[in-house]
Amino acid sequence: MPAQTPDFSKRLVKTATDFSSLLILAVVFIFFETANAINGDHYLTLSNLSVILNQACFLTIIGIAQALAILTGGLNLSIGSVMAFTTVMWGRMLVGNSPDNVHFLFPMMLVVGTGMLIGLVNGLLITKLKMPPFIATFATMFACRGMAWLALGKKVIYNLNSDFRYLGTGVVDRLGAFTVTVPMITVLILLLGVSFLLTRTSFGRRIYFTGANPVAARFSGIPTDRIIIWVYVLSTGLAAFAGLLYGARLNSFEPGMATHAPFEAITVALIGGIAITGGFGNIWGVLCGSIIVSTIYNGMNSLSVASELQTLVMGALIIFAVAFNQFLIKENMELRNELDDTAPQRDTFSRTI
Amino acid sequence: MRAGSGLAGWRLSHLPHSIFAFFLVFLLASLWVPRFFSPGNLSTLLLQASILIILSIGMSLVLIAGGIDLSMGGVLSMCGVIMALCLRDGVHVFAAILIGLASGGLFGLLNGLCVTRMKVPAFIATFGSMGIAQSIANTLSGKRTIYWESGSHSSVLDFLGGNIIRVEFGPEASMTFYIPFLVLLTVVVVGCIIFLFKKTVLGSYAFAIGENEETARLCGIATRRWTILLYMISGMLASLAALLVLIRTNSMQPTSGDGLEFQAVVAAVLGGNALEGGKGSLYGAIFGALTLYVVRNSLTLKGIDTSTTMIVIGAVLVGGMVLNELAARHERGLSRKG
Repeated sequence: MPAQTPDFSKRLVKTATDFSSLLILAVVFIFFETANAINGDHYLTLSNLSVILNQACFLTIIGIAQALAILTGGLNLSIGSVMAFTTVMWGRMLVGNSPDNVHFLFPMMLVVGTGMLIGLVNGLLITKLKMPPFIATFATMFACRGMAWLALGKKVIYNLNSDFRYLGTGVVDRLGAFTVTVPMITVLILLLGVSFLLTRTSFGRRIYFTGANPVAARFSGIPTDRIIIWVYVLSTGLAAFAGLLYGARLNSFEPGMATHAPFEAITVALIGGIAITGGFGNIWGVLCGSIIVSTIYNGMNSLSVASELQTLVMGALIIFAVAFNQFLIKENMELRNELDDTAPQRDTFSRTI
Repeated sequence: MRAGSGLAGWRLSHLPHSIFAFFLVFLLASLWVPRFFSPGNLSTLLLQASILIILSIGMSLVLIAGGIDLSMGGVLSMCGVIMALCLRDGVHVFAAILIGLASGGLFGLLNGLCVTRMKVPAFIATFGSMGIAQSIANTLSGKRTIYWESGSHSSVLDFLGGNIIRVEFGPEASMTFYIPFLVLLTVVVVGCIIFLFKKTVLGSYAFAIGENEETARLCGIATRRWTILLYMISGMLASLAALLVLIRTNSMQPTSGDGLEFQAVVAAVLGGNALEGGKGSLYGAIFGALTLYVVRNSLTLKGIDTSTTMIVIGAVLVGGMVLNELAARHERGLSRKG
């Protein structure tokens, strides 16, 4: 329709917002492909893609854990320490292959359960003691790391159960040069589950609403405290699960592991288009974000960039990605207001309530 | 005219709450840890805490204006490495310090521009620049500790590394009370910042911006410029802290600032600075930093390992926040009655 033409550019921006992380991913792919092509290499091969995706799996899980907390307008800094503490605490039950061992699922449940308990502490500190999430989860981060060191000292738990290790390293199928691993399947199931939870259940919609405007949410009868507590239980439980996967891949648990995990998780979630102010973002963006981050690490290694320079690139990237997303989100919000007059949109906010 | 001016309006609850936390912790430590309340240990405590005090003052400035500066630790490492490299190459110490301060200020400027112009949330902007600063520190130093030959160009550093006063109460080292020049330097710096904060518009503008940036802008405050200035001050304070580290250890590690920014946040928050801005005090941050170091120092003296110390610090943080929340509720109750 001719009357619609001025809207075209705006609609383009709106589409771009929904796929902003995909845009960044494309740029990153093209950059490394051309950079490697100059050296006469081919970067985007199937086997390299499967390596990137496999590395992205762990990042995706902690990214989802962080994204859930960020969606409520919070933050979870306890992710890495919880990974260390919970696995170190129950990790001895996963050692070795002797037949009188308990089934490996039992300690796994204990690990995730402990993580959820710590999440409950996080949630209670935030809602009942009115502590800012940054401080509350920082305190549990400190405490959990301390308890992890206390539980194991300077030792390492190694030589894990091979059935359990299959979860972190197992190969499901080889499609040509592309290897489908167990973590990929796990992450896919997890993403489908969380996506269903966030978009198709009232609990998920309430998470978005609580993050977007906690006061309005409370006044419209949403038990925001309970929502936030549950989100931190889920988020910290997921972190513990990520710890299991991490340990299964490395074949060891140690108290000092994953010190940078909460910050990597923040990077992944924000590059994935989750707004730090809360209440906005698509969980599939986290997958994109983690693929971007692992592509950059992988690509910089392929170009043999020094590790200290990699921190610089990641630092600059996170600033620019967030600035880009921030700009797009602002445009998107304005467009929603304009477009809502003409046609009902199937988007986050109109489906919120 | 102000409600709190004069002794008549003076109330115990007007003090930053972290003073009470500090005295409580100090009293407990003095009673429980045998060698804690000795002149030598108290001097060490002051010296250890002075770096964090400077950092937490800078952090509080930014927190009061509604931001956060996570890059302080990284900037500390970076400026320290730059200054140490200058000293190694025989640059005069004053020029080295100026270069260090300038690079800290420049980084603060970058942070401020990211926050105000690019509209990146402060948490993310400074988090990203933390990585950048750490990377610069590691690249410049080649990940190695930097030493320098002390000579005529660095004689001021040897002087600053000494003590102003040294009083011996007994033959043992723990009975020697001393005040290093570094503590004096810290007092001077903190005094200057507090003077700027209280006696110029800086303080009230920072509170106004932190409380409501839009309102502050409509009231005619150039919010962007002031925010950038605050980030620059915190960057320069980080480089001053780097100078302290450099003098104390007589060398510079590229990782010496790692994690210090979070300790500074903890100290500032213990001191009653709210993360959402518009509330807080610089004195509070000083006592927050002192509280942290009293806990740390006394647990070390007691021979308790660092893992337990971490748990205790987590607990102190929660306890301090509960105290702040209780005090805030008490105040709200008072104002409702009055």
